[in-house]
Amino acid sequence: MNPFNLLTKTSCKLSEAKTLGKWKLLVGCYTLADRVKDVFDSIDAEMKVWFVVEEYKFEAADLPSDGSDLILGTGDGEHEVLEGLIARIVQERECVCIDATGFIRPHLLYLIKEIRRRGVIKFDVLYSEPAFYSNKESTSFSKGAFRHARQVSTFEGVHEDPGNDVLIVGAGYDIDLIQAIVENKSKCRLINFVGFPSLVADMYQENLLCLDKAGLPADWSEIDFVPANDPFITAGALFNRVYQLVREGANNIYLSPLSTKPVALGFALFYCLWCEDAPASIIFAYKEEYAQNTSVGVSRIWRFEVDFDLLLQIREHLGDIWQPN
Amino acid sequence: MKNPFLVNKASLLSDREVYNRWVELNLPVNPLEKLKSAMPAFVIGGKGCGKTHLLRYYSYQVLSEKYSKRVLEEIRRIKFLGVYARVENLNNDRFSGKGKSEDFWVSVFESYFEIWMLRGLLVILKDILEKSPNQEDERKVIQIIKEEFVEEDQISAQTISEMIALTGSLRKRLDKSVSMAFDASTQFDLGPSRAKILGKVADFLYNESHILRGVQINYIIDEFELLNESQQKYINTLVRQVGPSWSFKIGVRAYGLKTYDTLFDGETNRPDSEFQTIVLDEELRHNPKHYLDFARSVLKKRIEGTGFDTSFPPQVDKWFEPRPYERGDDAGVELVGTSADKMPRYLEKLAAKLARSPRVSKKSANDLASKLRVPGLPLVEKSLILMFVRAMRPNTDLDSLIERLGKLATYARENPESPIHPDVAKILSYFKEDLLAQIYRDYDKDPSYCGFATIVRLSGGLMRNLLMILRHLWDYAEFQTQGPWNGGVFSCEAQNAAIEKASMWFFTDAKVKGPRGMVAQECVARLCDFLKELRYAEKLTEPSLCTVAIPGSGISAQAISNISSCEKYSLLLPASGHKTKTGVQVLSRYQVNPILSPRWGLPISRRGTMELTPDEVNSIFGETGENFQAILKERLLSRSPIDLSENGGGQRDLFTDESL
Repeated sequence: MNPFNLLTKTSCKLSEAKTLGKWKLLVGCYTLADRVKDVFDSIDAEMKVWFVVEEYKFEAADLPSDGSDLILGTGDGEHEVLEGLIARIVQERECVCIDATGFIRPHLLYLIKEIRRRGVIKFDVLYSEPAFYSNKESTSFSKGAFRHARQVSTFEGVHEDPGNDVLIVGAGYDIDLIQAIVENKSKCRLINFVGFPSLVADMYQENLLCLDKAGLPADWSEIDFVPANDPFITAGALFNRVYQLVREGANNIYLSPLSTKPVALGFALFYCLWCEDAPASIIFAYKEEYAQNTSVGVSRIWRFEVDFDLLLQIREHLGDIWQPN
Repeated sequence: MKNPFLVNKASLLSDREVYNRWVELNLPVNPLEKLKSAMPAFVIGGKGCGKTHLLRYYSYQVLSEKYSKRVLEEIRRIKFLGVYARVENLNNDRFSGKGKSEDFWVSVFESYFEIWMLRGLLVILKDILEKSPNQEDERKVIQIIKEEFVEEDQISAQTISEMIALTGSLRKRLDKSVSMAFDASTQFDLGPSRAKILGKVADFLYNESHILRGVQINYIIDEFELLNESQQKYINTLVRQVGPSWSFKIGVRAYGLKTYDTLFDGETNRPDSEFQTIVLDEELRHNPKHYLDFARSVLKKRIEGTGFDTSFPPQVDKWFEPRPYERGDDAGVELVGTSADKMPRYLEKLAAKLARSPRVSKKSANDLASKLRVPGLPLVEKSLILMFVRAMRPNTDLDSLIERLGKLATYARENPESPIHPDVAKILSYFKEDLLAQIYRDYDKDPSYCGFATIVRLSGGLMRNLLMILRHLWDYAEFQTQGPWNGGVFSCEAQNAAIEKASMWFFTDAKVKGPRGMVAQECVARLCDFLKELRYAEKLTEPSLCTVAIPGSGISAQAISNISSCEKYSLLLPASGHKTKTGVQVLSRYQVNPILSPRWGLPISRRGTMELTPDEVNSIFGETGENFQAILKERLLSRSPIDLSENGGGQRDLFTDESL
């Protein structure tokens, strides 16, 4: 049995959102998408906090006026941008729910790792699937100029001398980001994690079209399939793949989650469990701006119960990746 | 059969493959001699010009592949030891922010970089000492390194292997500290005191060692463009401090060279003073014949070992189907046909425009256009149309003009053996390619770019562009089950499909380089739109338009900066001097990178130069392209004397002498 199946995930339609659970604190990153705003309104929580980031380029008049608390994420680097939100979550500590849907991926990664480091061991993560993306395979989630491609803060590995380096990309729709990351680690052997099953049936084909436009993959044998809406299976798939790669002699592993938020969460969980002080980093291509709304409708809402106590037991059961047999 | 062009980046090749795929660059004056000299050198070039392959070829590891056990003998002979390193492996972006000052990070980066490069040198020394043991040299190297540590007595390493392990530990400790730098409690162990440890070890090896006496240690740094400005200043500082025993050879993309300044206030390194430069792709472009031969050799190397190299023809060009219209005088007939009954589309258009004039009835317009007919020779017909528009003035006697041109058409019809009248030949000598492109456009086709020599020219001196085209071509041909491996050739269709894909890849690649890349991309797109409209306008004035001259005055600072970005991202290539027709001083001359030409149906060979006005430059190369449509319209007005638009709005009509 795959031990990651021990972790709990449930789903429901938007109209049934209140059946997902009741929380003390709900945090969400504000965008104009239905699946962010409508879900935020529908979830049952005592306190609700909107996290607003500069990348979405909201004017003051655009900000929510529903009475929820607002935390503005500003500054240089994840630790500055997210400090206020992290402090709020850590303060509540118990019965916290994070709606990942609107978060910029590196922020989500840093948030998960940092709240865990500060003692928030159990929390829930929500993700809402769209009915469809606004421009199908041409949907662009990020806009404007690149800032840089770099390691996500606290996901910087302790690397060995370069040799058989591997880049694992959770490839999504953002062709620019994929190209930037592949360019940044041009010497690495490239493995693509493609979302299958996809969120909606034709998104798999759309995803492949995006890969082709990005000039990938050069080698179809280097594609792994992970469900686009399951962070736990993603983490398990990463474990299997990295385990195999290390035994094949891989020196350094670079990970880049560029697809859905559940896949990004899976990358974060895998890293937290197996990659501290290891020759593995999570890298991301940072852009100046992100689209305020990229999707239409809400297909269903997922609740993922993140339990680091249980995850550590899974780690214990599966063992270390980095020591070859 | 596996695509031999699948790997088109030298960074993905093994050391053995770098050696095996090496092709000598037989240029009249070999720029690579600069790499062997003691002076530091910057190898500058666009993406895919071959910098990495070149720098790796001079590394110890590749030299070992070539000479095996005799590598030490060779190193002593050439007096050159290359310690190769790629900046990508530094993950250098992490040395910034996190609440720490820039000075702090420069300090950390200095330590990290020296440990990193030192480790690279030690790994090589270990290999050399295994081939040619010398305990005294080994002991001395260890001693020199130990002396540079703040707490020398804490260093227990006695051998090169132990010192390698130590540098690895130091580096990993720094990795952890850097990762947690935002936490104020994080401690930093910066390792050796920064007393130019790289130079001191090199000095000993060069002056005193038995194994490497007289051998210059060359620290080869690739991907310099990835470093931020402070980090580049630090490396520049080291470049300034080299001596006979050590030097730097640095590979960098043009857009990534941020500064020649050093960390010493007011001190800047200068070309030919502190360092030499090799601009690789420029060298190849300036020697087209040698580049073509070089490309043939690269292709041959790639094919070797694929399984059908035994049938490799002496002339690889035969694998590539030529363009349909390489034939000559009747080029274009494959689209237009030879029937005398059906009027070609371009003559129909001419008739339609003539008919809009109140001076000309519809029947007369058709009759006039028919006088220019030469069935089976579309180029002659197009030449006559061009001669017509060039001769048209407000008071021109239309009938006389057509009569005169009609005689040239009659000449062609009545002299099938030699149909081209000297007047027509003169037009074709300048505008043949452009007129052909217009014929293709009239028939809703894109111009065709075929032939090996054309593909090499398209690559613009960047080998990766060539390899990219060949990679797509191979895939396409295999999908169509046609190609040299089964007795066929690469069809024109396959070649054009491959070129289109490679062109798209090159164009979109600039965007991922950051905000400057994106702006450069937008500027070049506007320029190409501009040139395209002029190429397909009725009145051609400059042949083969892919080159522009920028005037020396009246240009905004923003435009100058953006033009520079376009050049650095290899979207525009510098072209040599130009005497303007107007006597205006020219700032510079640029050609659109040929790989971009197919996207806009532009030519790839330079002939004519479009002299841009200051307003045009400021609009095309402005940040937002303000007034671009207006300046394009103004330029086109002078190119469309008959009637530009479908509804005739806003254009000058020579037949009515009215501004519409």
